[in-house]
Amino acid sequence: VVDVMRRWLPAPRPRPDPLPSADAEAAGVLAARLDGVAQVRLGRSLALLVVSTGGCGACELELRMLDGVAYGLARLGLRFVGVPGQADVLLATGPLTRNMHGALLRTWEAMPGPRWLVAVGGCAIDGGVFAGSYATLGGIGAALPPDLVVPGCPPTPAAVLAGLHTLVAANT
Amino acid sequence: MTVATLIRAGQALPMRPWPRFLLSSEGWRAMVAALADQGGPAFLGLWADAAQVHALFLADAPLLASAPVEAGLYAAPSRHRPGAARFERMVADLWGHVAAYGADSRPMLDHGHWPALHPLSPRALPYAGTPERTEFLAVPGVGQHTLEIGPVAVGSAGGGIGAPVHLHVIAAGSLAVQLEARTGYAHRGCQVLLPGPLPAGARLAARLNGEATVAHSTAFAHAAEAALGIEAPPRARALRGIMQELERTAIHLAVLASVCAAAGARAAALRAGSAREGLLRASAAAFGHRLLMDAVVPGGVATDLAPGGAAAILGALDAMAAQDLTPPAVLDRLTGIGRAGRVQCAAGPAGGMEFGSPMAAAAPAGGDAAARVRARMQDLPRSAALLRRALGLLPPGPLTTALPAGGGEGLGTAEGPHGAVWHWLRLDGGSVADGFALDPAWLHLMLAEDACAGAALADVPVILESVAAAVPGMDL
Repeated sequence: VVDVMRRWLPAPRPRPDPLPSADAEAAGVLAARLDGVAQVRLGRSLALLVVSTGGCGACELELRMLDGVAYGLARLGLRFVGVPGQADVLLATGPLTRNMHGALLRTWEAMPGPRWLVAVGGCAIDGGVFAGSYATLGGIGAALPPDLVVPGCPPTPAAVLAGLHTLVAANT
Repeated sequence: MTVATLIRAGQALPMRPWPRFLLSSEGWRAMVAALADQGGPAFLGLWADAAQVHALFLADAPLLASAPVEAGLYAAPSRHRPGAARFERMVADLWGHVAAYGADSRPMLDHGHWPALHPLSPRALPYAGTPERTEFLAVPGVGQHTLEIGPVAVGSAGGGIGAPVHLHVIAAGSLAVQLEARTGYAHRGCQVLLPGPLPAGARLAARLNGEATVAHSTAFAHAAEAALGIEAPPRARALRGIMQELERTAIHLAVLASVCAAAGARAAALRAGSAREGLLRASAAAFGHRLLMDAVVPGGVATDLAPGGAAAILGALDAMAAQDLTPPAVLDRLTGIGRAGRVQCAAGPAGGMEFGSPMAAAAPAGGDAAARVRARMQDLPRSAALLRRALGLLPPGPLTTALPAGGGEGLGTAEGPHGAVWHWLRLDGGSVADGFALDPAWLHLMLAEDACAGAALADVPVILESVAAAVPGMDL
């Protein structure tokens, strides 16, 4: 009977990892940049838009994991959106190719604000292995100053989550 | 005469492990004309250097044919192999060599933003023009409308987290008449970055396509080792095989998660994602990196299997096997949609490029989206069995072979999660002088366009996820 019941009962549900702690110092700096209006409007809920500025695709693979069971993005009030008009945070991956420069700027301009820019991965920070070619600008800093950087090649989902947690902590 | 005979009639150059054949312009033209015969070898890819074009075919063995570019022209293989058209556009953008009578001469990688025209040509022209609007292929018909998607937020899974690509969809009512992908947004200039020290080249090769980093590192290492006439030690070869199977399994699960998400099966997507997360953690425990980036290096592997790594991998495989990852409802949703017929002809009758070798038999020509997903699903237990066996039979010994500072040419291949990848390398004094990396994305993108033609608009996202073309691999 126990065997039969075990077959029909659902498997133990996988539990999310404990939340990585926010970086208190960076949170303080970010909080200083916010005004009261932003806090009232956004609270702890931030909408994330991923813009790939031309990397190898590994950062995107890892960012996709954030929405899964192990990382539970929604615990922080965070969610991915596909439209810049709904986004508060732009997560940029890739070394910023010249062919994506215009699209990144137009996406940023279409975000209503208050808004944040996060450079995800070594390429977005300084171009990584793709720096110095005719086709790249060596990181998103060439177009827009990032508020937060998450190093790694690619950064683990836990590292990105810690960075986003820092943003949320600054926001409350 | 057949294509293979015509290529083998050229001058055999010392490339390892297979020779490269240098044809005259006449020989190349005869080869292109012979491609009209559908019994010829599969076309894998086309690239160039300052003076020559190179075409890779697969018959019973790989056949690499080269020919001089004369007066800036070469005969276009796309006359008889439509899959060559995008390669010809890439060659024209980067080197300025024109494919005579090619199927498509529009720019592809060059969007008009680079500081030079034909940046890889010794006669690169400084360029400060204004970018022109892209011309998309028109379809005759009335009552059509177009949809523009991308290059930001393409892909239905998780709010559009994917490589940058612009999809131009011509629709009539609720049917997609034609889908055309504009690529080049992720063009990073890999060809100009590649020459230099071998370790730097290997790091670049690992980042050509993040979804096949182990496969590209391994093919690069194979090409370098062939060029130098050495072989990786047995333990390194076994560890490479383990890493390749780990990557293959994890990417299959990522594709399955994206397909399920696009099909609206959220629970199934989460289940596949959890299984993938377990494998990535096992990979990190075993080799120190979740995606195994830079773990394979020319001459061997960078890291040994960590203590406890084998147990972590076996645990993740057990957890994966305990789950039902093939929801019948998702397969029903995929059945009969996204059927592709043209691409097999494009690659040639023997061209199992829809997927690489082990899966080619499982995903027959003209397969629908369900067939493609089923091919990946059937691959999971095969990979798991290979992993279990390889972990049990790991030979002892060193991890690397010393790299001599020699020169030469080599061709290497490895089976990646989306199909076979190929690397051609020319070494000089132990450094990379020239090279090219061939990713299955080139033909997958064509498969995606083909599979979406005539589909319902609502099915397009699911079909695209079922093909899973990894665009960074062809954006170079």
